[in-house]
Amino acid sequence: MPVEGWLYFLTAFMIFASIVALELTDLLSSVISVGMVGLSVALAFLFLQAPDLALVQFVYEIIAVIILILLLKASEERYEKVKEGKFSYYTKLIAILAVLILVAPIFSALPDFGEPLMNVSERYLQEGAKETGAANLVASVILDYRVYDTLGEATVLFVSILGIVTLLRHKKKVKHDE
Amino acid sequence: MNLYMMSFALFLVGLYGVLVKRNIVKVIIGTGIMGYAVNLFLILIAYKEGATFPILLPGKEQTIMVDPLPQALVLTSIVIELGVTAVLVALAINIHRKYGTFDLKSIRRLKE
Amino acid sequence: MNDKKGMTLIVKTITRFTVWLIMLYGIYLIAHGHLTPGGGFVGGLVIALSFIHLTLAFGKDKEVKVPGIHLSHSLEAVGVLIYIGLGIVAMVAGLPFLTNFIGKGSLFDLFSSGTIPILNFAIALKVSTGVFLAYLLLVLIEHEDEEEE
Repeated sequence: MPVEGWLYFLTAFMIFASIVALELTDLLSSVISVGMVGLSVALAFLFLQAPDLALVQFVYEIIAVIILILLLKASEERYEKVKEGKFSYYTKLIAILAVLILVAPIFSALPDFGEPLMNVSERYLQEGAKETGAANLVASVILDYRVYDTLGEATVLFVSILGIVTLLRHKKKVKHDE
Repeated sequence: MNLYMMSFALFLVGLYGVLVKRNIVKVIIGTGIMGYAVNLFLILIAYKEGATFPILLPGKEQTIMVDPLPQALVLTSIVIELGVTAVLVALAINIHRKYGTFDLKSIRRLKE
Repeated sequence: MNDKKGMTLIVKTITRFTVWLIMLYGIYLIAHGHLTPGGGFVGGLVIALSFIHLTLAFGKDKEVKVPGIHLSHSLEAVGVLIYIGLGIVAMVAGLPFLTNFIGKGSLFDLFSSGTIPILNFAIALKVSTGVFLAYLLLVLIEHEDEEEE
């Protein structure tokens, strides 16, 4: 079976699993369904010849499911109790369908699947091993040709961890005024 | 249907989760699904027909390889998505500590 | 909930073997980041997962030592400082910020390709301690009426 057939099957499964994840009332089951969507994305990365990314997506998915289950455990809620009203639900659904119908013709302007425009990547593929000495060309792109962007990413992660430390501080003293 | 349109449909499912749902956990799940759809779309752009992964091994001769630049961008994007999800979960825990519920409509009315 | 004592005896016995395997795999991914798929990000996340595995299985046992909140926070800052320090060293030598100024070596060697292994190590230090710090803070929410370290 060619690669496109597998990718159609995986993407249809992802859409089905994400709709299931958003519609269930049991919050624990919906978190597990999101885990299934993430694992399918990792499998799709393997079919698209990106082994580095399949590893990262797989491990990120495990950590995201762990963090969401910790959220459910710390707040001790298990079921979604209220449903949204009919008027707002149908108007927003119609708005999203209108976006899908209006944006769909734009996708014909992209290049066909399987023929990318490699303007800069030709140089990275031909000269990458000589100029950086690394055999992993993706690592040579993120740590030699585009090393400044990796510094930006480390900064974003650092600031987000600072935000978590500030938000989840222990309350040492009792609130003296309400 | 095109593969690009199906990944866009996955993005719209995530957007539906953020706009329509009333529970905070469903909103966080919606942002996660939007992140998966965007990463998948970027790697779909970079695929070349009949090519192999962009890593040089001792026994392999230099053949056609897929585009390594979107792979570097998506690697960055996945790890940043981890930090964003962690901050959203910390915010949700604080909201639950103060208001006692996860329901967005009644939290908006309380407003203490 | 039996959070103080951790999980059952079977889980604790198997954890003693699997924790070292997971950590060894993480170190392999960091060290060979410029030769095979891997790199600093995956290696850091796998090492953080090994610490989470240890904490989940053993609970609040006093004889299991994992990095606490203050040590993780300091190690994360050390990781970012190594990254920036390497860039400033390149600037002192006269080249632009964060150039690959060490000699390249031959292809497929373990000690090749300049500053890439050092940057991999710095990124792995930062990501692993950062993710483990986020996990520790989320777990300690329900024990906030007890004495913490």
